[in-house]
Amino acid sequence: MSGALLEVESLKVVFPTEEGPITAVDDLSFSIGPGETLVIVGESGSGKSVTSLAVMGLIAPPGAVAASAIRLTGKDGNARDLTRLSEAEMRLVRGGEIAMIFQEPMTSLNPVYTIGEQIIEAIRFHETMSRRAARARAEEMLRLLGIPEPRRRLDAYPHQLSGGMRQRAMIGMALSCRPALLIADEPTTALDVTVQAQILELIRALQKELGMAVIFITHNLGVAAEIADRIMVMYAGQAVETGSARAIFRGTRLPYTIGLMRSVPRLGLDRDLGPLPAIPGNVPDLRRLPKGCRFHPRCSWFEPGLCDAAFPRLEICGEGHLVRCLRWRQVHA
Amino acid sequence: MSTLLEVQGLTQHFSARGGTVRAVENVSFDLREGEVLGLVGESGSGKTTIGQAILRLIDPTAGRIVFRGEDITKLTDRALKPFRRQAQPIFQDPFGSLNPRMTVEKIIAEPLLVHGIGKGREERRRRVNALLAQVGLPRDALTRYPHQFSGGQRQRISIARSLAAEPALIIADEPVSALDVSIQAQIINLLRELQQRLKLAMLFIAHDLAVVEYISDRVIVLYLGRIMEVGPAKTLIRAPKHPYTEALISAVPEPEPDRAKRRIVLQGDLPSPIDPPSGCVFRTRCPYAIPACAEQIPALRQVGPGHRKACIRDEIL
Repeated sequence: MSGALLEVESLKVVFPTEEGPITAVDDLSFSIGPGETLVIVGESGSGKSVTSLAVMGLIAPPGAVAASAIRLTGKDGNARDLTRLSEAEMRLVRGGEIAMIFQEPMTSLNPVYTIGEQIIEAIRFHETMSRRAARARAEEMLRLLGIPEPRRRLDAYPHQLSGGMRQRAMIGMALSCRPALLIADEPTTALDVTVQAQILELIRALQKELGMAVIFITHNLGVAAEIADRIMVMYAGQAVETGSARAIFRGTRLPYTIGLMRSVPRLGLDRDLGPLPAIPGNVPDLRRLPKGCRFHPRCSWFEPGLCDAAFPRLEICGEGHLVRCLRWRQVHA
Repeated sequence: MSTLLEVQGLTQHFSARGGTVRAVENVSFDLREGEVLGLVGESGSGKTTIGQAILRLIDPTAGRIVFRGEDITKLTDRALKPFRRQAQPIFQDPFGSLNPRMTVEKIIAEPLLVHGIGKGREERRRRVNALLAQVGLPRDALTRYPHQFSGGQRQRISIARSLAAEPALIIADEPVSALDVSIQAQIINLLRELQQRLKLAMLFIAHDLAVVEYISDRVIVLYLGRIMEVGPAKTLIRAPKHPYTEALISAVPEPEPDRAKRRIVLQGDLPSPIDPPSGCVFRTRCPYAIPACAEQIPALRQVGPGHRKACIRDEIL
């Protein structure tokens, strides 16, 4: 895709274990355009978080990353392959070009420094700016984030803030250098729904205001529907379906996605209609993946001799809509 | 159905640096035999504390817990034993709540031993096997250890353990929220099927409104340790009468793209439980608040059959 902000080509992440190597992400390719929101949906072991850490260059040895390319178009308009950058160069990309926020804000906020000190440090690491100017930018950022009394909050320590405020402070730190891409890994999962609603609204507003692209990782289909332009569904280390939010929610051709959508209880669901249509079985163990399609032991469209024998590739099933299923032509919600 | 559990004026305070945390304040409700009562609320609402107080894991500051007509609030550990057999917990974390050094057989048989159920090893093993089948685990699970199972299977083990003593009441605190999405529905179905077949009463504590609506007959909505609204699950979700319930429902993201949902985004933060607002505790974030809301704590008032709310305004919802 030309004009992409980030293009990931054939990403593979392998971790050695006592029982042999685990391929956490397997031959993954995707791209995201400027200002776009891509939601990666997946369960545990799907590879969604490992993917984002690999893009950030944060996979620690003995984990190993192989990719044909991870191309990022920088703020200067030049494309660079992140896999070829030195650690010093990557440090400038992280925070400056791509920022990341996590589920638990206390993992990214240092408890012994004030919120202000941490944001100011981040700004001055990436930009030549006086402390005074950086402090003014930090204050403006907290105000943009809807934090009341931003000047006073700059001098607060992380533990003095509520969960929602801490999440805002972390977002503030991440966005203080105006990155072109924000990677948000389950940023609302640990929050209450009313706070989640605040944070989602905030991310949307900031995205509009700053024109930034967002990769949003979640297991919650409701959150995905709320914020996605495009969705990539991952299962057992692979992308299994990609398409516009509308294509996925209205016209998915993948049994796994259909299963997820049906099994989640919705408000107003009539329980007299019977039990929830659950997906049987368990999320697969990456050390013991089934042969053929990785979902076949749990799939209601499973065809013996086909799905347990041949390895499905991503196929085009509609405009901008890819699906990894040998029987997608027969599959419908 | 007759009343199984009565909670009367339950109040739970904790002392902390900076003052007294008012975790639960004057909460009263009944639970009938075989009924599922959902307890929803966000962090700090007191829902987990209420469950712990009913199980007598903590001693209430004030109020009474009456089980089948007997006041159990002040009973000693020894006198509590028959009640403990009747009321069993299921916890959120199937990783932390199972002893990693015990086989599945030992884990499930433990309540049988504690309560003297089943004579001899053979009968206990027969019961454990029946329980395994009931929760959908294979027979060969007996000799294995918790870490050899996935999260969903571990939750099945803890459900089997809770059912071993043949309780009348289950207190389930966020039993599916730590599980993968594709596994949650399996466990919800299992809990509902067992609840119906064994005619169990259940206090279902969770933050996920859709899950609570699905499994509960009635729902209590809590905020800052107080009941805001209580009513039949369907009515309360479809036509909430309390502004907090309305806001909570509107905040739930639904898997429906391009559906414009009217969202009430609550402003600000949860007030401190050490120094809660006067009058209605929700008024500081309520879009409908008027000066009178600060004056007195609103009583729970009838607004429909079995439906009550703690809000002085009627014309809003």
